[in-house]
Amino acid sequence: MKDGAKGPGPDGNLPLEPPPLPGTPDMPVHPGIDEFVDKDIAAREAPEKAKGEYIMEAEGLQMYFPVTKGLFKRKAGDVKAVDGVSFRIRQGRTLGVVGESGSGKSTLGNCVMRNLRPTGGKVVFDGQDVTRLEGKALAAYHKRVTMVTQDPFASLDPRMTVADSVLEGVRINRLADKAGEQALAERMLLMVGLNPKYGSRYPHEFSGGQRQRVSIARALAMGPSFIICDEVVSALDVSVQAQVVGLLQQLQQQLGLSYIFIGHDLSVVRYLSHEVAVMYLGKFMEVAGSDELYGHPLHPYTQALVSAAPIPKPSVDRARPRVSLEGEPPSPIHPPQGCRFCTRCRYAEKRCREEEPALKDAGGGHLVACHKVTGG
Amino acid sequence: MAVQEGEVILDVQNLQTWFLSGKHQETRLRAVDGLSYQVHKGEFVAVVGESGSGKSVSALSVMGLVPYPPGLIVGGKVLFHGKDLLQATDEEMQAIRGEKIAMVFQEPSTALNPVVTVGKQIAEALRIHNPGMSKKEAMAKAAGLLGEVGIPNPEVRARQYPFELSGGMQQRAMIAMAVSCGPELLVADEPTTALDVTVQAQVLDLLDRLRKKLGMAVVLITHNLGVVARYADSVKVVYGGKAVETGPTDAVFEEPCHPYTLGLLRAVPRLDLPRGYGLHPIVGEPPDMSKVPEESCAFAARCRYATDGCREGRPPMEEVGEGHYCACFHKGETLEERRALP
Amino acid sequence: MGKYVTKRLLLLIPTLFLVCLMVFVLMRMVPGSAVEMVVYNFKQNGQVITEAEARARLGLDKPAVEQFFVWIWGMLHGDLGDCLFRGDTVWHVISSELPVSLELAIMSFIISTAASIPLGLFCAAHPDTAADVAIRTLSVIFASVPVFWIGTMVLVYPAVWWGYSVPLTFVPITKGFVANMKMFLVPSLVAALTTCGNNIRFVRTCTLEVMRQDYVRTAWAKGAKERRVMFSHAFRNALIPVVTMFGGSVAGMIGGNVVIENMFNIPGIGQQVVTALSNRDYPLAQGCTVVFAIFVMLVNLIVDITYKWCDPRVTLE
Repeated sequence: MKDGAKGPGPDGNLPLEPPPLPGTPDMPVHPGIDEFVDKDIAAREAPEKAKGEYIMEAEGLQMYFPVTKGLFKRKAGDVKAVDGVSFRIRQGRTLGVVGESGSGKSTLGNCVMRNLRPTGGKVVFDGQDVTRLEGKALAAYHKRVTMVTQDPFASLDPRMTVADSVLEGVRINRLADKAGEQALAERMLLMVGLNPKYGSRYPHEFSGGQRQRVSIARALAMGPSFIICDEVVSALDVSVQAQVVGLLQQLQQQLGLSYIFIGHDLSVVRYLSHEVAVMYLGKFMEVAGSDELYGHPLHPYTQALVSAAPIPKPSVDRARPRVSLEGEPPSPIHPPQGCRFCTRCRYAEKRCREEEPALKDAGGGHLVACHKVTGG
Repeated sequence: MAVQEGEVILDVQNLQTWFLSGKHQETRLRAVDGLSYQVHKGEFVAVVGESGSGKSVSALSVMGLVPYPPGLIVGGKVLFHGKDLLQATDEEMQAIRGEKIAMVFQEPSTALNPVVTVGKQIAEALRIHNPGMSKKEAMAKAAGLLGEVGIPNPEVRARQYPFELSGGMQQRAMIAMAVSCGPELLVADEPTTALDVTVQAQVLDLLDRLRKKLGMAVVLITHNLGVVARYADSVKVVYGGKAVETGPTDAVFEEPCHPYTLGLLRAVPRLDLPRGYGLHPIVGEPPDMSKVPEESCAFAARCRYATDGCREGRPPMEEVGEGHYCACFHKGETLEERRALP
Repeated sequence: MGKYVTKRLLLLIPTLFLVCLMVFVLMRMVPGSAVEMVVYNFKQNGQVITEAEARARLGLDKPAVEQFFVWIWGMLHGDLGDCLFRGDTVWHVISSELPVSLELAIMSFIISTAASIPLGLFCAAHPDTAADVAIRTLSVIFASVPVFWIGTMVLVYPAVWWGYSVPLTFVPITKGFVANMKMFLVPSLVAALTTCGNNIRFVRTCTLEVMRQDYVRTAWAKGAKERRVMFSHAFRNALIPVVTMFGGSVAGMIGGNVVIENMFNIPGIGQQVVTALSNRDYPLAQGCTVVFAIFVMLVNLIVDITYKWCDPRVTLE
């Protein structure tokens, strides 16, 4: 690091404000976007809340999938995909969720989205408990909370034009008339940096990055205030990945959106998130402000994750301490006794194998679930 | 790391692999379009590029595994110890594959035969190149190799089928299979893309350890620049089917002269720098190599420095430092931009 | 494995009961009845019989539910009842004629499989060559030409050209193996030809599909020779869908070779079923259907076990 003062130094006192926009002046990412913002979208949106209020809260969220066995489908146990997760997200902010495959991060996204009905805990969106919503009320929720998923090849219907894909939800909910639909589709495409004339084309005519933009346009069309992004850039090339992340960030600033950003690439999650939660076998292991978490990872698992992510600068990368993580995560059907991470943790001792550590504040809102860090 | 010394074992010269399609094969997708690079004995080489850059096809071309039709190697040389593999007979290639040059693929879950046990698949590789070896001996050796690549209970695992292993273990088994005959060169095509960060580090550490132990050279094909920085001795940045910048890792990362290399470096967020840094996208999309004119720089359409000269002629590969080559008309501007960055 | 087979065999019992019930009900719902047939037959012979008498003779005067349980009870004791129109027990008819059909089915299946797998593999190994195109063209022709036409040609032309007439006198296998084989050869070839066409194309498609898979590329990358790649890797995987399809075709063969049995004068069970149905010979038709059902279920069990053997990922639950 050439300029130590700029980095997340020992005191970790970087302001948690959104970083400056990507894209140099000669590279306008979304030409013409400004004239289209704030008109209809803002009108359809929920009344603007004062920044700083919690828009999404989850408490003790649980999602168990039963495992059945034998002829009579006897219940043999549960896959505890999400096992007691709590978080709060402020309006206009992003919660990043990182974890390995099988950590339950995608299930968490689907629970909040209410594609799944959580088996325990609750989700409160904008003051309303949405954990048990059904039918019309759920549809109304899905207007305000939408989702973008990983695979841009699988998530778009190959037989629908992209405009039809974008408008699908709007049509189901009859949010616009025929003339309005056309204009809306064009506006949405322009908003995500695509040529509005592309609306009549089919997904196969687009590259992966462009398809992901279409998916984002579809998620935006209903005028949501909250978007769940599940591994949205994992399948994309680095150069294109940066475009999409930049787009998400720009949309957040212009529309005041809040995100849950789920990913396995630590550096991308950090870039977009104000707060980051590290998930392991269905539980949050550590939650902290983005810079605090990466600057001072406290949990041994987070330390290993940060250390495993390489840095594309040989001199810096070689100088970093390496904490290597042996083995692979155990099965979520039989998570280890005590701390879930104890089988792979190099600091694990007797207590860790017996007693599960709670997520506790280690100072300044930095939450960690580790006996070694928070002590008694 | 200094410039590589030692014998050149693989010398790819002006390789051209095209994919022909259309009624009269008139659509020519120049997947590999005049790629040249060298690999020294025991060297860790990274070939970096985006999807569609031709990096995987070039590896398959070296192995003689480009599917025809539609793929066709139309020109160039692949010299392995001075012998042109493109001219070798099927029998000669079969003797080289697996024995001298081995390959590890991207998706371990599909690259292993689902109906044959892991041990048998490794034993098969051993027995192909050691006809005298008994089945029992080969199985015992296969189990030993599985242990060597860090799979616990190797005897048990050897008798299991690929679907009974996790992704990381499958990739370890693939590596065990690839190194079973002690190859001189291991080509690894995106071996960790399908794996988690922590497992990725484990697998690459393993590759690096085996390279040092067996003295083999490794060609790592990847799009992940971080991985390159950590492991590679030298880097070949590939765009539009040809190398645009090659050189020792440190030189290419610290003093990149090609706008594409710099673009890649700026597109990834850096964990070591403040949060706002990085993530400058490269505008546009990777090129469609059936449409880019042959006599132009393939990157011109996305390049901020591109001038008419770039669109009318291909920039030649020129030495910019010791062992560091770059094909660009605007090296100076690029380097200047780099130097202004942290 | 043993546990699985036992479970499947036990499951046969309720399934068979349902089959019996359906066969019984459906048979009785078919318009026309055996009673009318009996009255008609007597009339032909100049005798007069009232419907009530005919009904009593056939045991159809009892309520349907009772008939059903009488039939089931009899079956549990190995008694399938008597044929209504032939002076014979149903069991005797089935036990003497089922093996004949089975022999035809098995022989044609063996011939068809023995021809279609190597030919399909050959086509897959050399796609779009002259040989491949020729084999595929012939396959389409054989698959689309009706079996009675091929049968007629086979019966007529060898006789015209070479003076060879297909033996049409049935010889049971117990009365002379060679003569039996001679007489079965041509009909099973004809039966095989029609299935072979589709099977070759299916094997070819499956193998080509598998040849595109990553693990086949891995096999090449190991330095394996073509023969090894084709057999140890491509074919072993292509076998999985092939087994499913071939197994299904065996099940259909046993009752489906009626036309061939008819043309080549083979006293198989297919012919019997058709007659029994048209005569409303309830016990015989029911008996044959139940035996077919058992056969189909056993074949499916064998297919599933073979499937497990081909594909270790399959769990037999």
